[in-house]
Amino acid sequence: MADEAGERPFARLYLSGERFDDGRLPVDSLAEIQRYQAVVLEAARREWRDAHPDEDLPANFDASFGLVIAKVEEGSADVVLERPSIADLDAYFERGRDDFERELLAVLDPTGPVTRAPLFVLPEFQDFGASLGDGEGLQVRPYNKTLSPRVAAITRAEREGVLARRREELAPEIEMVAPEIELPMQGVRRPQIGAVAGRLSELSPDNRSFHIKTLHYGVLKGFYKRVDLTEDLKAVLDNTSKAPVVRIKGQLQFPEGRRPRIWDADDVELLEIDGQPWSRKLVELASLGPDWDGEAPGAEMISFPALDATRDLMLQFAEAGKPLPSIFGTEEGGVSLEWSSKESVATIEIGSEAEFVLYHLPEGSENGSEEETLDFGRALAFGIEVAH
Amino acid sequence: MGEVPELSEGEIEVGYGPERMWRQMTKHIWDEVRMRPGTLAFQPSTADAGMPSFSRETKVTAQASRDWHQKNARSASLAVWPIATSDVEDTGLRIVDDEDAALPQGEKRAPGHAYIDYRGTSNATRRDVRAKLLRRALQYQEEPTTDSGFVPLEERDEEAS
Repeated sequence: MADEAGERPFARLYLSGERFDDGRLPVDSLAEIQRYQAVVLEAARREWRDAHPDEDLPANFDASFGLVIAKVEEGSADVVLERPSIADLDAYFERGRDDFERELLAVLDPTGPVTRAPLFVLPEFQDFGASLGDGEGLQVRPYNKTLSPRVAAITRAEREGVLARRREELAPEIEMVAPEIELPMQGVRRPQIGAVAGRLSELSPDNRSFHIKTLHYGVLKGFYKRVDLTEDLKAVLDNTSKAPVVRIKGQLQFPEGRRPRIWDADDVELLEIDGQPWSRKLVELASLGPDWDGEAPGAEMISFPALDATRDLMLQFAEAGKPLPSIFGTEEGGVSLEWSSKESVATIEIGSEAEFVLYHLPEGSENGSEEETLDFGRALAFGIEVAH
Repeated sequence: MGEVPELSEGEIEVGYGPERMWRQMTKHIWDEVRMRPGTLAFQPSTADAGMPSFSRETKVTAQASRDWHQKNARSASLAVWPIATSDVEDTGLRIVDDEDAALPQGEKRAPGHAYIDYRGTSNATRRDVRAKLLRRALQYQEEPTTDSGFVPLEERDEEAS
Protein backbone atom coordinates (compact mmCIF):
# COMPACT_ATOMS: atom_id res chain seq x y z
CA MET A 1 0.00 0.00 0.00
CA ALA A 2 2.91 2.29 0.56
CA ASP A 3 4.01 4.44 -2.30
CA GLU A 4 7.53 5.74 -1.90
CA ALA A 5 8.31 8.98 -3.71
CA GLY A 6 11.76 10.01 -2.54
CA GLU A 7 13.10 11.78 0.56
CA ARG A 8 11.54 15.01 1.69
CA PRO A 9 12.32 17.54 4.44
CA PHE A 10 10.63 16.74 7.71
CA ALA A 11 12.11 18.77 10.56
CA ARG A 12 15.03 20.92 11.67
CA LEU A 13 16.69 20.73 15.07
CA TYR A 14 18.93 23.69 15.78
CA LEU A 15 21.63 23.23 18.42
CA SER A 16 23.43 26.33 19.66
CA GLY A 17 26.50 26.78 21.82
CA GLU A 18 30.27 26.53 21.41
CA ARG A 19 30.26 22.78 21.00
CA PHE A 20 28.13 23.14 17.89
CA ASP A 21 30.08 25.93 16.22
CA ASP A 22 30.83 25.44 12.53
CA GLY A 23 28.17 22.80 12.20
CA ARG A 24 29.85 20.26 14.48
CA LEU A 25 27.53 17.66 15.98
CA PRO A 26 28.94 16.00 19.12
CA VAL A 27 28.09 12.32 19.33
CA ASP A 28 26.15 12.68 22.59
CA SER A 29 23.80 15.11 20.84
CA LEU A 30 22.53 12.24 18.74
CA ALA A 31 20.53 11.24 21.81
CA GLU A 32 18.39 14.34 21.30
CA ILE A 33 17.63 13.32 17.74
CA GLN A 34 16.74 9.82 18.92
CA ARG A 35 14.42 11.29 21.55
CA TYR A 36 12.82 13.51 18.96
CA GLN A 37 12.30 10.50 16.71
CA ALA A 38 10.80 8.39 19.52
CA VAL A 39 8.28 11.04 20.57
CA VAL A 40 7.19 11.92 17.03
CA LEU A 41 6.84 8.24 16.11
CA GLU A 42 4.66 7.58 19.14
CA ALA A 43 2.57 10.67 18.36
CA ALA A 44 2.16 9.43 14.79
CA ARG A 45 1.05 6.00 16.02
CA ARG A 46 -1.59 7.65 18.16
CA GLU A 47 -2.80 9.75 15.21
CA TRP A 48 -3.12 6.61 13.11
CA ARG A 49 -4.98 4.71 15.85
CA ASP A 50 -7.38 7.63 16.32
CA ALA A 51 -8.20 7.48 12.62
CA HIS A 52 -8.48 3.67 12.57
CA PRO A 53 -9.89 2.71 15.96
CA ASP A 54 -10.73 -0.88 15.03
CA GLU A 55 -7.58 -1.73 13.13
CA ASP A 56 -4.09 -2.85 14.01
CA LEU A 57 -1.20 -0.55 13.23
CA PRO A 58 0.24 -1.43 9.78
CA ALA A 59 3.21 -3.75 10.13
CA ASN A 60 5.41 -1.36 8.18
CA PHE A 61 4.36 1.73 10.13
CA ASP A 62 7.45 2.20 12.32
CA ALA A 63 9.85 1.31 9.52
CA SER A 64 8.09 3.78 7.23
CA PHE A 65 9.04 6.68 9.45
CA GLY A 66 12.64 6.23 8.25
CA LEU A 67 14.00 9.48 9.64
CA VAL A 68 17.53 10.35 8.46
CA ILE A 69 19.97 13.18 9.12
CA ALA A 70 20.19 14.67 5.63
CA LYS A 71 22.75 17.32 6.50
CA VAL A 72 24.13 19.47 9.30
CA GLU A 73 24.34 23.08 8.20
CA GLU A 74 26.85 25.58 9.54
CA GLY A 75 26.13 28.51 11.79
CA SER A 76 25.64 26.32 14.77
CA ALA A 77 24.56 22.73 14.28
CA ASP A 78 21.41 23.02 12.19
CA VAL A 79 20.30 19.43 11.74
CA VAL A 80 18.05 18.82 8.77
CA LEU A 81 15.95 15.66 9.09
CA GLU A 82 14.29 13.99 6.13
CA ARG A 83 12.18 10.93 5.61
CA PRO A 84 10.94 8.95 2.64
CA SER A 85 7.58 10.06 1.37
CA ILE A 86 5.03 7.26 1.68
CA ALA A 87 1.68 8.54 0.49
CA ASP A 88 -0.56 6.48 2.79
CA LEU A 89 1.32 7.40 5.94
CA ASP A 90 2.90 10.84 5.45
CA ALA A 91 0.00 12.68 7.05
CA TYR A 92 0.25 10.71 10.30
CA PHE A 93 3.96 11.36 10.71
CA GLU A 94 3.48 15.04 9.96
CA ARG A 95 0.59 15.29 12.41
CA GLY A 96 2.73 13.52 14.97
CA ARG A 97 5.51 16.02 14.38
CA ASP A 98 3.09 18.93 14.75
CA ASP A 99 1.57 17.42 17.90
CA PHE A 100 5.00 17.24 19.50
CA GLU A 101 5.91 20.79 18.48
CA ARG A 102 2.64 22.15 19.83
CA GLU A 103 2.91 20.24 23.10
CA LEU A 104 6.56 21.17 23.57
CA LEU A 105 5.72 24.84 23.14
CA ALA A 106 2.95 24.58 25.72
CA VAL A 107 5.09 22.72 28.23
CA LEU A 108 7.96 25.21 27.94
CA ASP A 109 5.75 28.29 28.12
CA PRO A 110 6.27 29.63 31.67
CA THR A 111 3.27 31.96 31.57
CA GLY A 112 0.49 29.49 32.03
CA PRO A 113 -0.46 26.09 33.43
CA VAL A 114 -0.75 23.06 31.18
CA THR A 115 -3.73 20.83 31.85
CA ARG A 116 -3.30 18.30 29.08
CA ALA A 117 -0.13 17.05 27.42
CA PRO A 118 -0.61 13.43 26.38
CA LEU A 119 2.90 13.02 24.98
CA PHE A 120 4.56 14.34 28.13
CA VAL A 121 4.32 10.90 29.76
CA LEU A 122 7.00 9.64 27.38
CA PRO A 123 10.43 9.46 29.03
CA GLU A 124 11.96 10.70 25.78
CA PHE A 125 9.83 13.85 26.00
CA GLN A 126 10.85 14.55 29.58
CA ASP A 127 14.51 13.87 28.75
CA PHE A 128 14.47 16.03 25.62
CA GLY A 129 17.35 18.50 25.99
CA ALA A 130 19.01 16.56 28.83
CA SER A 131 22.38 16.48 27.01
CA LEU A 132 22.62 20.27 26.82
CA GLY A 133 25.42 22.01 28.70
CA ASP A 134 25.44 25.47 30.18
CA GLY A 135 24.89 28.15 27.58
CA GLU A 136 23.57 25.64 25.07
CA GLY A 137 20.18 25.57 23.45
CA LEU A 138 18.01 23.31 21.32
CA GLN A 139 15.29 24.55 19.02
CA VAL A 140 12.67 22.55 17.17
CA ARG A 141 12.01 24.68 14.13
CA PRO A 142 8.54 24.09 12.72
CA TYR A 143 7.78 23.34 9.11
CA ASN A 144 4.14 24.01 9.59
CA LYS A 145 4.37 27.68 10.57
CA THR A 146 0.60 28.12 10.42
CA LEU A 147 0.12 25.59 13.16
CA SER A 148 3.20 26.45 15.21
CA PRO A 149 4.34 29.99 14.38
CA ARG A 150 6.68 30.00 17.37
CA VAL A 151 9.93 28.10 17.79
CA ALA A 152 10.12 25.69 20.73
CA ALA A 153 13.44 26.52 22.35
CA ILE A 154 15.01 24.70 25.29
CA THR A 155 18.00 25.80 27.32
CA ARG A 156 19.66 23.92 30.10
CA ALA A 157 18.93 26.68 32.61
CA GLU A 158 15.17 26.62 32.21
CA ARG A 159 14.67 22.99 31.39
CA GLU A 160 14.78 21.33 34.81
CA GLY A 161 12.62 23.85 36.62
CA VAL A 162 9.96 23.97 33.93
CA LEU A 163 9.78 20.22 33.54
CA ALA A 164 9.53 19.66 37.28
CA ARG A 165 6.60 22.06 37.51
CA ARG A 166 4.89 20.38 34.58
CA ARG A 167 5.32 16.97 36.17
CA GLU A 168 3.38 18.24 39.17
CA GLU A 169 0.67 19.88 37.05
CA LEU A 170 0.26 16.91 34.78
CA ALA A 171 0.52 14.26 37.48
CA PRO A 172 -3.07 12.98 37.14
CA GLU A 173 -2.64 12.56 33.41
CA ILE A 174 0.70 10.88 33.85
CA GLU A 175 -0.96 8.50 36.26
CA MET A 176 -3.69 7.58 33.83
CA VAL A 177 -1.86 7.45 30.54
CA ALA A 178 1.22 5.31 30.68
CA PRO A 179 3.25 5.14 27.47
CA GLU A 180 3.02 1.96 25.47
CA ILE A 181 6.23 2.10 23.52
CA GLU A 182 7.61 -1.17 22.29
CA LEU A 183 11.33 -1.10 22.95
CA PRO A 184 13.60 -3.95 21.93
CA MET A 185 15.02 -5.94 24.83
CA GLN A 186 18.75 -6.03 24.29
CA GLY A 187 22.11 -5.84 26.00
CA VAL A 188 23.41 -7.41 29.17
CA ARG A 189 20.76 -8.54 31.63
CA ARG A 190 21.39 -8.21 35.33
CA PRO A 191 18.83 -10.16 37.35
CA GLN A 192 18.15 -8.78 40.81
CA ILE A 193 15.51 -8.58 43.47
CA GLY A 194 13.61 -5.36 43.06
CA ALA A 195 10.24 -3.72 42.70
CA VAL A 196 8.23 -1.72 40.22
CA ALA A 197 5.09 0.27 40.87
CA GLY A 198 2.30 1.18 38.51
CA ARG A 199 -1.24 0.37 37.43
CA LEU A 200 -2.09 -3.30 37.17
CA SER A 201 -4.07 -3.53 33.96
CA GLU A 202 -4.38 -7.15 32.93
CA LEU A 203 -4.10 -10.60 34.48
CA SER A 204 -3.77 -13.92 32.67
CA PRO A 205 -3.98 -16.67 35.32
CA ASP A 206 -3.57 -19.44 32.72
CA ASN A 207 -0.02 -18.43 31.82
CA ARG A 208 0.66 -16.63 35.10
CA SER A 209 1.34 -13.26 33.56
CA PHE A 210 0.11 -9.71 33.98
CA HIS A 211 0.60 -6.22 32.57
CA ILE A 212 1.52 -3.21 34.63
CA LYS A 213 1.66 0.41 33.41
CA THR A 214 4.62 1.99 35.15
CA LEU A 215 5.55 5.61 35.50
CA HIS A 216 9.11 5.24 34.29
CA TYR A 217 9.09 2.33 31.88
CA GLY A 218 5.69 2.29 30.21
CA VAL A 219 3.83 -1.02 29.98
CA LEU A 220 5.69 -4.03 31.32
CA LYS A 221 4.70 -7.65 31.06
CA GLY A 222 5.36 -9.64 34.20
CA PHE A 223 5.38 -13.32 35.09
CA TYR A 224 5.11 -15.25 38.32
CA LYS A 225 5.52 -18.82 39.52
CA ARG A 226 3.68 -18.71 42.87
CA VAL A 227 0.24 -20.19 42.20
CA ASP A 228 -1.37 -18.37 45.13
CA LEU A 229 -0.25 -15.01 43.76
CA THR A 230 -3.12 -15.29 41.28
CA GLU A 231 -5.57 -14.80 44.14
CA ASP A 232 -3.62 -11.81 45.46
CA LEU A 233 -3.58 -10.18 42.04
CA LYS A 234 -7.27 -10.90 41.48
CA ALA A 235 -8.11 -9.42 44.84
CA VAL A 236 -6.28 -6.25 43.95
CA LEU A 237 -7.98 -6.03 40.57
CA ASP A 238 -11.41 -6.60 42.13
CA ASN A 239 -10.75 -3.98 44.77
CA THR A 240 -11.39 -1.03 42.51
CA SER A 241 -13.23 -0.25 39.29
CA LYS A 242 -10.18 1.22 37.56
CA ALA A 243 -6.70 -0.22 37.25
CA PRO A 244 -5.20 -0.08 40.75
CA VAL A 245 -1.72 1.17 41.58
CA VAL A 246 0.35 -1.68 42.95
CA ARG A 247 3.91 -2.46 43.80
CA ILE A 248 5.18 -5.76 42.47
CA LYS A 249 8.23 -7.24 44.15
CA GLY A 250 10.32 -10.08 42.82
CA GLN A 251 13.05 -11.08 40.41
CA LEU A 252 13.61 -8.35 37.84
CA GLN A 253 15.89 -8.25 34.86
CA PHE A 254 17.35 -4.95 33.72
CA PRO A 255 18.45 -5.09 30.09
CA GLU A 256 21.19 -2.49 29.77
CA GLY A 257 19.61 0.91 29.26
CA ARG A 258 16.19 -0.57 28.60
CA ARG A 259 13.00 -1.35 30.43
CA PRO A 260 13.11 -3.97 33.17
CA ARG A 261 11.35 -7.30 32.81
CA ILE A 262 9.48 -8.80 35.74
CA TRP A 263 10.71 -12.32 35.54
CA ASP A 264 9.22 -13.78 38.70
CA ALA A 265 6.90 -11.69 40.84
CA ASP A 266 6.35 -12.97 44.36
CA ASP A 267 4.48 -10.21 46.17
CA VAL A 268 1.93 -7.54 45.37
CA GLU A 269 0.84 -4.51 47.41
CA LEU A 270 -2.04 -2.16 46.68
CA LEU A 271 -1.66 1.62 46.91
CA GLU A 272 -4.86 3.62 46.82
CA ILE A 273 -4.03 6.54 44.57
CA ASP A 274 -6.19 9.50 43.77
CA GLY A 275 -4.93 11.38 40.72
CA GLN A 276 -3.83 14.44 42.67
CA PRO A 277 -0.80 16.68 41.96
CA TRP A 278 1.23 14.77 44.56
CA SER A 279 0.25 11.31 43.30
CA ARG A 280 3.18 11.07 40.94
CA LYS A 281 5.58 11.64 43.82
CA LEU A 282 3.88 8.86 45.77
CA VAL A 283 4.23 6.48 42.84
CA GLU A 284 7.89 7.49 42.54
CA LEU A 285 8.46 6.67 46.19
CA ALA A 286 6.54 3.39 45.82
CA SER A 287 8.84 2.55 42.91
CA LEU A 288 12.06 2.79 44.92
CA GLY A 289 13.70 -0.60 45.31
CA PRO A 290 15.82 -1.93 48.17
CA ASP A 291 18.88 0.25 48.83
CA TRP A 292 16.96 2.69 46.67
CA ASP A 293 18.36 1.12 43.59
CA GLY A 294 22.01 1.44 44.61
CA GLU A 295 21.97 5.14 45.43
CA ALA A 296 21.28 4.80 49.17
CA PRO A 297 22.83 1.62 50.58
CA GLY A 298 20.86 0.37 53.56
CA ALA A 299 17.71 2.33 52.66
CA GLU A 300 14.45 0.40 53.00
CA MET A 301 11.63 0.42 50.48
CA ILE A 302 9.00 3.02 51.34
CA SER A 303 6.13 1.29 53.11
CA PHE A 304 2.60 1.44 51.73
CA PRO A 305 1.10 2.34 55.14
CA ALA A 306 3.37 5.40 55.14
CA LEU A 307 2.35 6.27 51.59
CA ASP A 308 -1.34 5.78 52.45
CA ALA A 309 -1.01 8.12 55.42
CA THR A 310 0.85 10.64 53.24
CA ARG A 311 -1.93 10.58 50.67
CA ASP A 312 -4.62 11.07 53.32
CA LEU A 313 -2.77 13.98 54.93
CA MET A 314 -2.10 15.69 51.61
CA LEU A 315 -5.78 15.44 50.66
CA GLN A 316 -6.82 16.98 53.96
CA PHE A 317 -4.27 19.80 53.70
CA ALA A 318 -5.45 20.58 50.18
CA GLU A 319 -9.10 20.54 51.21
CA ALA A 320 -8.29 22.89 54.08
CA GLY A 321 -6.63 25.27 51.61
CA LYS A 322 -3.26 24.98 53.36
CA PRO A 323 0.14 25.25 51.64
CA LEU A 324 1.27 21.76 50.76
CA PRO A 325 4.49 20.35 52.19
CA SER A 326 7.44 18.92 50.30
CA ILE A 327 7.49 15.12 50.25
CA PHE A 328 10.65 13.07 50.84
CA GLY A 329 11.24 9.37 51.34
CA THR A 330 13.19 8.40 54.45
CA GLU A 331 15.78 5.66 54.56
CA GLU A 332 13.80 3.92 57.29
CA GLY A 333 10.99 3.24 54.80
CA GLY A 334 8.83 6.18 55.78
CA VAL A 335 7.98 9.63 54.45
CA SER A 336 8.87 13.11 55.64
CA LEU A 337 6.44 15.98 54.95
CA GLU A 338 8.17 19.32 55.31
CA TRP A 339 7.28 23.00 55.37
CA SER A 340 10.46 25.06 55.43
CA SER A 341 11.56 28.65 55.01
CA LYS A 342 14.42 30.81 56.20
CA GLU A 343 12.31 31.58 59.27
CA SER A 344 10.89 28.26 60.39
CA VAL A 345 10.80 24.52 59.75
CA ALA A 346 8.05 22.01 60.47
CA THR A 347 8.03 18.32 59.64
CA ILE A 348 5.72 15.36 59.94
CA GLU A 349 7.78 12.21 59.83
CA ILE A 350 5.63 9.22 58.97
CA GLY A 351 7.15 5.89 59.98
CA SER A 352 6.83 2.65 58.07
CA GLU A 353 3.89 1.60 60.27
CA ALA A 354 2.21 5.01 59.87
CA GLU A 355 3.35 6.32 63.23
CA PHE A 356 4.08 10.05 63.37
CA VAL A 357 6.79 12.32 64.75
CA LEU A 358 5.78 15.98 64.69
CA TYR A 359 8.58 18.54 64.81
CA HIS A 360 8.42 22.34 64.79
CA LEU A 361 11.20 24.93 64.85
CA PRO A 362 9.28 28.23 65.07
CA GLU A 363 10.39 31.61 63.77
CA GLY A 364 12.89 33.37 66.00
CA SER A 365 13.37 30.36 68.25
CA GLU A 366 16.26 27.98 68.81
CA ASN A 367 14.02 25.58 70.69
CA GLY A 368 12.39 22.98 68.49
CA SER A 369 9.47 20.92 69.81
CA GLU A 370 8.89 17.26 69.10
CA GLU A 371 5.90 15.00 69.65
CA GLU A 372 5.35 11.34 68.84
CA THR A 373 1.85 10.05 68.14
CA LEU A 374 -0.06 7.22 66.52
CA ASP A 375 -3.08 9.50 66.09
CA PHE A 376 -3.71 10.53 62.49
CA GLY A 377 -6.02 13.30 63.67
CA ARG A 378 -3.28 14.80 65.80
CA ALA A 379 -0.83 14.74 62.89
CA LEU A 380 -3.43 16.42 60.70
CA ALA A 381 -4.15 19.12 63.27
CA PHE A 382 -0.42 19.75 63.67
CA GLY A 383 0.05 20.08 59.91
CA ILE A 384 -2.85 22.50 59.57
CA GLU A 385 -1.44 24.57 62.42
CA VAL A 386 2.15 24.82 61.14
CA ALA A 387 1.63 24.85 57.35
CA HIS A 388 3.27 27.84 55.74
CA MET B 1 23.66 12.80 73.84
CA GLY B 2 25.60 9.53 74.00
CA GLU B 3 29.32 9.19 74.23
CA VAL B 4 31.17 11.23 71.61
CA PRO B 5 33.93 9.14 70.03
CA GLU B 6 37.55 10.25 70.12
CA LEU B 7 38.82 11.65 66.87
CA SER B 8 41.04 9.35 64.85
CA GLU B 9 44.62 10.09 63.93
CA GLY B 10 44.69 12.71 61.18
CA GLU B 11 41.29 14.16 62.12
CA ILE B 12 40.93 17.69 63.50
CA GLU B 13 37.93 19.65 64.73
CA VAL B 14 37.40 22.63 62.45
CA GLY B 15 36.09 24.87 65.24
CA TYR B 16 33.79 27.86 65.41
CA GLY B 17 34.00 30.33 62.56
CA PRO B 18 32.51 31.80 59.42
CA GLU B 19 34.02 29.25 57.03
CA ARG B 20 31.40 27.75 54.78
CA MET B 21 30.98 24.03 54.14
CA TRP B 22 29.63 22.76 50.83
CA ARG B 23 26.87 20.14 50.77
CA GLN B 24 26.02 18.30 47.55
CA MET B 25 22.28 17.95 46.92
CA THR B 26 21.08 14.70 45.37
CA LYS B 27 17.62 13.76 44.17
CA HIS B 28 16.36 11.97 47.28
CA ILE B 29 17.02 14.99 49.51
CA TRP B 30 15.94 17.58 46.94
CA ASP B 31 12.53 19.13 46.25
CA GLU B 32 12.56 19.41 42.46
CA VAL B 33 9.46 21.60 42.39
CA ARG B 34 10.63 24.21 44.88
CA MET B 35 14.29 23.69 43.89
CA ARG B 36 15.61 23.44 47.43
CA PRO B 37 16.76 20.78 49.88
CA GLY B 38 14.80 19.09 52.64
CA THR B 39 15.91 18.53 56.21
CA LEU B 40 17.23 15.10 55.25
CA ALA B 41 20.02 16.88 53.37
CA PHE B 42 21.61 17.81 56.68
CA GLN B 43 21.36 14.57 58.61
CA PRO B 44 23.39 11.38 58.44
CA SER B 45 22.38 8.53 56.18
CA THR B 46 22.65 4.77 56.55
CA ALA B 47 25.75 4.86 54.37
CA ASP B 48 27.80 7.47 56.22
CA ALA B 49 27.73 5.98 59.75
CA GLY B 50 26.65 9.22 61.43
CA MET B 51 29.14 11.38 59.53
CA PRO B 52 27.47 13.22 56.64
CA SER B 53 29.98 14.67 54.18
CA PHE B 54 30.76 18.29 53.46
CA SER B 55 33.70 20.07 51.80
CA ARG B 56 35.57 23.00 53.29
CA GLU B 57 35.44 26.36 51.54
CA THR B 58 39.05 27.08 52.50
CA LYS B 59 40.27 23.95 50.72
CA VAL B 60 38.07 23.54 47.67
CA THR B 61 35.69 25.66 45.66
CA ALA B 62 32.02 24.76 45.46
CA GLN B 63 32.51 24.09 41.76
CA ALA B 64 35.47 21.75 42.27
CA SER B 65 33.63 19.88 45.00
CA ARG B 66 30.66 19.37 42.72
CA ASP B 67 32.87 18.26 39.83
CA TRP B 68 34.53 15.65 42.07
CA HIS B 69 31.14 14.43 43.26
CA GLN B 70 29.87 13.95 39.70
CA LYS B 71 32.81 11.68 38.90
CA ASN B 72 32.91 9.71 42.12
CA ALA B 73 29.60 9.59 44.00
CA ARG B 74 26.70 7.18 43.60
CA SER B 75 24.18 9.76 42.47
CA ALA B 76 24.29 13.09 40.70
CA SER B 77 24.70 16.40 42.49
CA LEU B 78 21.86 18.73 41.54
CA ALA B 79 23.16 21.77 43.40
CA VAL B 80 25.58 22.91 46.10
CA TRP B 81 24.29 24.60 49.26
CA PRO B 82 26.45 26.01 52.06
CA ILE B 83 26.30 26.15 55.83
CA ALA B 84 28.87 27.81 58.10
CA THR B 85 30.95 25.92 60.63
CA SER B 86 29.50 28.25 63.30
CA ASP B 87 26.01 27.02 62.37
CA VAL B 88 27.07 23.47 63.19
CA GLU B 89 28.88 24.40 66.40
CA ASP B 90 25.82 26.41 67.53
CA THR B 91 23.81 23.17 67.53
CA GLY B 92 26.26 21.58 69.94
CA LEU B 93 27.80 19.25 67.36
CA ARG B 94 31.27 19.50 65.88
CA ILE B 95 32.57 19.47 62.35
CA VAL B 96 35.63 17.35 61.72
CA ASP B 97 38.23 17.66 58.95
CA ASP B 98 39.38 14.12 58.16
CA GLU B 99 41.31 14.84 54.99
CA ASP B 100 44.54 13.49 56.51
CA ALA B 101 43.01 10.46 58.22
CA ALA B 102 43.67 6.95 56.92
CA LEU B 103 41.24 5.60 54.35
CA PRO B 104 40.12 1.97 53.99
CA GLN B 105 41.64 0.41 50.90
CA GLY B 106 39.71 1.10 47.74
CA GLU B 107 37.79 4.06 49.15
CA LYS B 108 38.10 7.67 48.05
CA ARG B 109 37.60 10.89 49.92
CA ALA B 110 36.54 14.17 48.40
CA PRO B 111 39.03 17.05 48.42
CA GLY B 112 38.60 19.27 51.48
CA HIS B 113 36.41 16.60 53.08
CA ALA B 114 34.87 17.19 56.48
CA TYR B 115 31.89 15.73 58.31
CA ILE B 116 29.36 16.73 60.91
CA ASP B 117 29.85 14.37 63.82
CA TYR B 118 26.39 13.02 64.60
CA ARG B 119 27.78 9.89 66.26
CA GLY B 120 26.18 9.16 69.60
CA THR B 121 23.27 11.53 69.05
CA SER B 122 19.61 10.65 69.58
CA ASN B 123 16.95 10.79 66.88
CA ALA B 124 15.52 13.86 68.60
CA THR B 125 18.86 15.65 68.42
CA ARG B 126 19.23 14.74 64.76
CA ARG B 127 15.79 16.11 63.98
CA ASP B 128 16.59 19.34 65.78
CA VAL B 129 20.03 19.83 64.23
CA ARG B 130 18.95 19.09 60.68
CA ALA B 131 16.04 21.54 60.94
CA LYS B 132 18.30 24.31 62.27
CA LEU B 133 20.85 23.70 59.54
CA LEU B 134 18.18 23.72 56.83
CA ARG B 135 16.81 27.00 58.15
CA ARG B 136 20.29 28.52 57.98
CA ALA B 137 20.91 27.09 54.52
CA LEU B 138 17.68 28.61 53.26
CA GLN B 139 18.96 31.97 54.47
CA TYR B 140 22.21 31.52 52.51
CA GLN B 141 20.59 29.93 49.42
CA GLU B 142 22.39 27.96 46.74
CA GLU B 143 26.06 28.52 45.95
CA PRO B 144 26.16 28.98 42.15
CA THR B 145 27.91 26.19 40.25
CA THR B 146 27.57 24.60 36.86
CA ASP B 147 26.94 20.94 36.19
CA SER B 148 29.88 19.18 34.56
CA GLY B 149 27.71 16.09 34.11
CA PHE B 150 27.32 13.02 36.27
CA VAL B 151 29.44 10.09 35.17
CA PRO B 152 27.43 6.85 35.54
CA LEU B 153 29.12 4.19 37.66
CA GLU B 154 29.52 1.78 34.76
CA GLU B 155 31.32 4.38 32.65
CA ARG B 156 33.94 5.32 35.19
CA ASP B 157 37.57 4.82 34.54
CA GLU B 158 39.77 4.29 37.60
CA GLU B 159 42.46 6.59 36.25
CA ALA B 160 40.02 9.30 35.26
CA SER B 161 38.68 9.55 38.77
